[in-house]
Amino acid sequence: MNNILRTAGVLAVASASVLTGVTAAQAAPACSTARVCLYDDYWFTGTSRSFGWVTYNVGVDANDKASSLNVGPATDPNSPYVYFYVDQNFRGDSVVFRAGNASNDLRGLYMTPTRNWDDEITSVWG
Amino acid sequence: MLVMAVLLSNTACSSPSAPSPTATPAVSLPSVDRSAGAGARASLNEITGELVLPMSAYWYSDRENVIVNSAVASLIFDCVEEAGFTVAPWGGGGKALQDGRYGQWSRKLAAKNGALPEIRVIAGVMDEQPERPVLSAEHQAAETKCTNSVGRAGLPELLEGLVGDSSVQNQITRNAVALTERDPEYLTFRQDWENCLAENGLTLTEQGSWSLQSSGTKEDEIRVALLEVDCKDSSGGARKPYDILAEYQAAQMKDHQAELNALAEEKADALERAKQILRDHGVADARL
Repeated sequence: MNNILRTAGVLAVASASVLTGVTAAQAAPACSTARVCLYDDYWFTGTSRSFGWVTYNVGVDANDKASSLNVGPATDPNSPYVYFYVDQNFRGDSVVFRAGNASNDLRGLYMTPTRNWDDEITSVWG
Repeated sequence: MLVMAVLLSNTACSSPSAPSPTATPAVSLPSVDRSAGAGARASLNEITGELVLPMSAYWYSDRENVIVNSAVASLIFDCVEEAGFTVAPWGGGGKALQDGRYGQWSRKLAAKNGALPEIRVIAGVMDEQPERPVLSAEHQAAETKCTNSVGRAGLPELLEGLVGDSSVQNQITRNAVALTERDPEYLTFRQDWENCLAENGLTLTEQGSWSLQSSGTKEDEIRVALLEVDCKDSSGGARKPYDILAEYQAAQMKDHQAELNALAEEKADALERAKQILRDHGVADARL
């Protein structure tokens, strides 16, 4: 999709397990433009699956499985953000990543003080 | 008093060959008296799906986000052109989703969209252009390099929920979410809603979720979405969790007003800088 900036209201928690820019590219396997890459295990290992930036439901096999992730470059620099949601159809808690960022361990990323993002992602909007 | 709880697990400097379990984080919530924010309300637009909370003033609005992102994109494209590539005309607006943190809350939008959120179109600062052409590998590499070197051009990312954000505004907003989920009035609302769903033969996609199972047809999605709203209305109103959230935000804001005032100035400065970048790139004031 072209020339789109998405700014849904969301909430999330900070984490230092996010790698940015060149560092992310070095640490994480490449993820294609306008794709997000989800990994079943930490440090970008285990089964990997790639999805578009607008995915209503990642499907049974990938639902609540991601333990690390990598966001590919944006199709358009004018639209640099991707939202990950805990429920299908972009419902429930969410967290925002910028294109090119990655998280090597979603246990370190909290949606609430007692719940992290490990094995929680169900839909993607960007 | 705001008690922050940011946990660091692995950092960019950690070895990728040494995964290890993350220690249980020492997370704590502030003790917040919700009554200190009594009277604060969420603004829920039943037609557009727009949600405004007390803390919304300290994040970029949808339109402001378009302006800032467009300014940064202008600088990235300058960099790409300096690297010897031709940048195709670009422009257009943005899209923003109806908030679905607590599921569907608008009867009108439930009847229109079923399980899906409303998508708002946000006006751009430049005219819409055709789909960008597919870039060559060299062009894409240059764009990625320029994206990294330009970064956010010194403009703050005032985007709610951005990963890695340990700012006071993000602390307030996420604390409010966590406090709401523990609030007795919220818990009663949630339980009454779930009971109503069960009485109507509806099932959550999973425990604790705000998504409901349906047959998958549009007709059934709309039926389920309308029942979802009916059950919220009979449990205290679909806006109930958002109003509780608003009160927890407002209650915390009182202790941080000086910081928030500074943040508002920072936001205004950033917006003016972004607008100047766009003016320098030929965007008329009427579009800003």
